[in-house]
Amino acid sequence: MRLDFNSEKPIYLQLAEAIEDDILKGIFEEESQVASTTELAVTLKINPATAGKGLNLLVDEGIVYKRRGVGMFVATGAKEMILQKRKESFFQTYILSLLEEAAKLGISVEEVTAMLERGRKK
Amino acid sequence: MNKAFLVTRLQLQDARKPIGIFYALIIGLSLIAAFSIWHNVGEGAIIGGIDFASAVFVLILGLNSFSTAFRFTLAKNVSRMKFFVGTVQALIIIAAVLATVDTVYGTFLRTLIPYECLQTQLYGTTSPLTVLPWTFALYTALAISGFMITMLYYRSNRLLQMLISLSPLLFYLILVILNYLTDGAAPRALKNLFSTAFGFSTSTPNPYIAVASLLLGAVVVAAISFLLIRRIAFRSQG
Amino acid sequence: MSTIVFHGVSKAYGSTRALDNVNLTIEPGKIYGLLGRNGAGKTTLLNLLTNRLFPTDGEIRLDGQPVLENDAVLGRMFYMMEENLYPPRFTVKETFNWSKIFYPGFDMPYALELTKKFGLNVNKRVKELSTGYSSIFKAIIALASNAEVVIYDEPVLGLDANHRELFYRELIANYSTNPKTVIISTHLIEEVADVLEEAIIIKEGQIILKQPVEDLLARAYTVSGEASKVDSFAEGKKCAGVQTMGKFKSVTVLEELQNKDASLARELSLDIGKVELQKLFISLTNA
Repeated sequence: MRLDFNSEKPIYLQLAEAIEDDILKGIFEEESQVASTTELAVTLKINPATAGKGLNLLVDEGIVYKRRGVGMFVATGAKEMILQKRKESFFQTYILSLLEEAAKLGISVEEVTAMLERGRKK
Repeated sequence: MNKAFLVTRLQLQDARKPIGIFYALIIGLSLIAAFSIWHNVGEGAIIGGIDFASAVFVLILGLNSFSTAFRFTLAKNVSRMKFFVGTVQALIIIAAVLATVDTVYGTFLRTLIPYECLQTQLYGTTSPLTVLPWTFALYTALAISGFMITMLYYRSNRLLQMLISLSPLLFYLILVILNYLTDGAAPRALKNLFSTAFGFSTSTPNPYIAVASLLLGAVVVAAISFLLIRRIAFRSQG
Repeated sequence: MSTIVFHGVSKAYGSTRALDNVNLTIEPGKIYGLLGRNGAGKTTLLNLLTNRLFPTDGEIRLDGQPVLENDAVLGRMFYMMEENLYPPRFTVKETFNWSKIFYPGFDMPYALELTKKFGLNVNKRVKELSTGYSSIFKAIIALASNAEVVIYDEPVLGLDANHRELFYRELIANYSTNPKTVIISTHLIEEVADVLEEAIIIKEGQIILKQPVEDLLARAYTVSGEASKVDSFAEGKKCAGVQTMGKFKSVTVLEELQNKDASLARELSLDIGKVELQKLFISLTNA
């Protein structure tokens, strides 16, 4: 897991996304243990509170859950949840702004679809 | 445990090695002296000075009891008050141990060779019952004085430090000037004060008066030390 | 819990005020960075907190108890000074033993484990240690002290990159498993920035800022690009740390990035970047 300390995003968000990426890649399997706050803080050399904040974000979303006295585990269906979430954010950040920009330039939805098709063939 | 006792322990452990070396030397030298007397080398000679050496030594131990130990206890966040109490306790214990060893060893030595301790030379008394308290009081006063002097030095700026270093000379100069100004009256008064305080004014010299004066002196010096250390600030040596 | 409160604390040396009416609350259980330029008053502040010095004015309390000559309170704190206060003739091991005596919570096995990790010979005398190993030696005692409040003044002085890395990792691990208040005073802001939870910035004897690092960084950004465009973007904004190189200019903007500004930057083809704590520190503390 690697964080980009120069990125605009706060470290805890980057950390949460990096763990999600690892879950998507299958590095952390569902129902397997993820790294603890301490492990994350020590390996990434970041404040444990920051690491905790990143992990808690995932707990709040139900991607990761806490087993008392044992640690953090990847929830069943986490992969699916992350995919859904990423799809939704893809829609929000790319599709909506794409359509907005297209409307500004007077490009019709049909034309956009055609452009997408052209882009895919490249 | 009370931190003052921990400081005492630290100070005693610190003093153990120099005390050991000191007595190894003293015993070695006195035995050499004893052998030379037995072999008629120094016929008629009287050996003395063990307790004088101890007195100088205990003053040095007092002088060494402040700086290093204070810095160390500061690093361990010990309060000045506890450092003070702990160190004074240690110095009293050291004075008691040295006085006991010197008295016992002196008594033992007297059975072998013509040995005279400081008190015998000054007061003519030889009983351990008078020698021990007198020696103890002397060592305690000297040890605590040493402690106070370094503390005074630590708290002073350069100029004051120089004055403290030169104080024996300054004291002598003042005495000379006073002698001249008062036509000898001032030094005489000082001499009388000393001989009264040390028990020489009585018909037969009385060492117990000296014990009381020395212990009183030790208490006064300790009180000054306490005032000095109360608000002492850390001073960087780096 | 161990809340530290500075109440109107000043320290004067003759006519110079090393610390000027400092009011500061340090909440328990966080890693603080005490940042300031040389002579800003960092060490004076720490010396007063641990009663190595006496304040000219004001008072410092730990959980309501004044620190002055208070063994109960002082014993809950451990302060690693930049200067080595340990007796030069003591060996490392002897010093550890005495640390255990004065701080019963001192974790000897951990201290010994750390000496192995750092390659510190426990039989060496304090006076034989190099600058780097002297820092390591003091840092190990602080790490193993198990005090509620552990203060480090320039902990990585003279350490090579590997040892600095190791120190930060040990600090984090130690803090994470044994929560405590940690205060790090250092010049090396860049490498410690992500370790800190809060930054306390001191300038000319006064606390000019105390804020979570994350908030602090969120409330500032850099904008860079063609100089005239940067100027028009920066107009009317609170800025600091201007750097120019030919036609290229970079400015630190001290406010939160608004959406409209982000799109304005895009229109002007300017780059928006995250501000680093070190850069922000420089712009805040430059006279």
